[in-house]
Amino acid sequence: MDSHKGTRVFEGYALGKLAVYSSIKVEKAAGLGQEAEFARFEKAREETIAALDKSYMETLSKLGEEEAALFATHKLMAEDLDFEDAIRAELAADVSAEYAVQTAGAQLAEMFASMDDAYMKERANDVREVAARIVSALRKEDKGFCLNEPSIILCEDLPSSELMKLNKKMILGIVFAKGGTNSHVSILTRMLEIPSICETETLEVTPDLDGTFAILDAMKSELIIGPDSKLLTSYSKKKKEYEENKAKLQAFKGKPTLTKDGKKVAIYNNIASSFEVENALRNDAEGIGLFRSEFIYLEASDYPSEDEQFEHYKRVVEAMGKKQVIIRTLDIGADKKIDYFDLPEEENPALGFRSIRICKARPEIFLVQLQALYRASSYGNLAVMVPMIISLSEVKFIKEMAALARENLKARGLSFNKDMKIGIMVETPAAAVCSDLFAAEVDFFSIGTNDLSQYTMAIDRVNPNLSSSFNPRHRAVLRLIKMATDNAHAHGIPIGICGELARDEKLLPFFLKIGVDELSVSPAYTLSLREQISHIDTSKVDEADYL
Amino acid sequence: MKSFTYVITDKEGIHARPAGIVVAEAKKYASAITIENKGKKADLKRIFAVMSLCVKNGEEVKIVAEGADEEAAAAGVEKVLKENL
Repeated sequence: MDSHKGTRVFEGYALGKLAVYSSIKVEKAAGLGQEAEFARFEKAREETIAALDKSYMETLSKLGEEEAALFATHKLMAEDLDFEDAIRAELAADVSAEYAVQTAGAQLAEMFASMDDAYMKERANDVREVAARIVSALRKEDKGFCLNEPSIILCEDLPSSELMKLNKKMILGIVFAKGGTNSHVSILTRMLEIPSICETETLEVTPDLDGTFAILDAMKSELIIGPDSKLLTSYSKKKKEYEENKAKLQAFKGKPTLTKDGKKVAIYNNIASSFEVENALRNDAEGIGLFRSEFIYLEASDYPSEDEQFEHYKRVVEAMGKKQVIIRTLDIGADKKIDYFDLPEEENPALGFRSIRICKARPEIFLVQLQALYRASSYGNLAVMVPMIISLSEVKFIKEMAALARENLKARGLSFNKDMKIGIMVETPAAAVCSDLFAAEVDFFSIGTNDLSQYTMAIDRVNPNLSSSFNPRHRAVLRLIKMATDNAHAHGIPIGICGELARDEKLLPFFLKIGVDELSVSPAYTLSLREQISHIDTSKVDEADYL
Repeated sequence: MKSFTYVITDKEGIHARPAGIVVAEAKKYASAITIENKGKKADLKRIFAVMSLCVKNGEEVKIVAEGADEEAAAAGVEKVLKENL
């Protein structure tokens, strides 16, 4: 029995035989002559193009244009004249078409791999994938990779076209020994909800593993090869429970979130990138409570432009339709550092130069973001929240910048929702204590429980020596939450909770009792939270127990 | 001959997917169409050639169409560039 740790692509359990996928290697062999081999290539290319068209249509209908587009690009690669020329040149040495295609593909792949650009380097895989498809079309006798029984696919990486070609009912799970969580095939895997992990560094993919029994625990991101019968029994039970629970939770899809005594609350989702919006929709979130815009900045190598940001925001806002999307403005500094911001080293980063403080010092960065947000606001139900607020002067600054952003867009003739809601995060004791003053000035509150706890108790939440003392259920924290909630409601504005605490079993009755309007959690917890809430009777909760 | 210039605004530059869309558009026309960037020129109907130019965000490309349907070709290519890059 041996086990390998990786990174989760999509949660779940799989128990079954491993099916090892490896790309085809072709040995150098003599062909039937240049013209005959070229004719074989042309025929194989036609078949490949027809298969790519099929993959395109299938992906388009199942997952949409964005994911399907890659197959259209692969088709162009298969048809490419430079590729054809390179194959002809190889065939001049009287080799087989298989060998010529593989060699020409490898040369082109090498060209991409040597480019001084991370994105282009990755395209080498596309070229190899196209060449491999033509080679397998040439090898009639070798049908390529297929699954004869339900299996866990084990591969270094899997071309997305291979994944789409396979019978999905036969795929129990996938282990991408290399791969990455954001590769095209990983995104497809997630959308198809296949339990899967990637980046299992200790695992070497060898053909002898084929047919070996294994357990894929995509909750703990672990692959266990050759488990003993005891482990197997315990995992069969776990898998059964997980699936029963999942099926049970499906009944909560499309339903409003109600407590036992009929109080309504909304469950929103926290997402960190625009593609995660799919997960939110699949789990029936009632909105997005926290879209961390900093991921756009973290992924870029220089300040992202207004257009670039706008595209990300628009994608999420459009996808959610009428449902509300709350985007948090830039929240960097402290533990989130970005090179091109060139932030100074700090003695005490958690209490230092971060979030709105950076925006105030560099208003031009904030303005670009606000303009991008306003532009996206005309595509759906967008609200914006600003983190780390401590004083009314910051709110005044935000309003002035928002007015300037609207003016600029108007001058450029662009459309936007002039009434876009602007709220603040209540994550400092200062904001909570003065929440009556803030409630009169902003459109909504959102409580960030992680920072609010850390600042209230003066305990660094990432210090391992203090983790046992870090108690976010501390009465001081709960009193601040209660205070902010009452002040919000006194001024007729909604309040949400978007920190980890939003799904805390012990605190849930309290949050519901004091009338928090919205709880925002990771997509995977949406339905279980809705189920949990349905069992809570707020008329039997005494909030004094918590304060 | 019909030509125009365009500045790429996509963060990734001309990457695989939009390159595919532009090449597919170019292939619809009989005219010879080229793309030029940083002094290098490529046939816009050849995807590997286009991708190997490695055009980055903010860079300018020059498109030249020459042939019977050059007007339509230039207009068509310009439209997809604007929509996708």
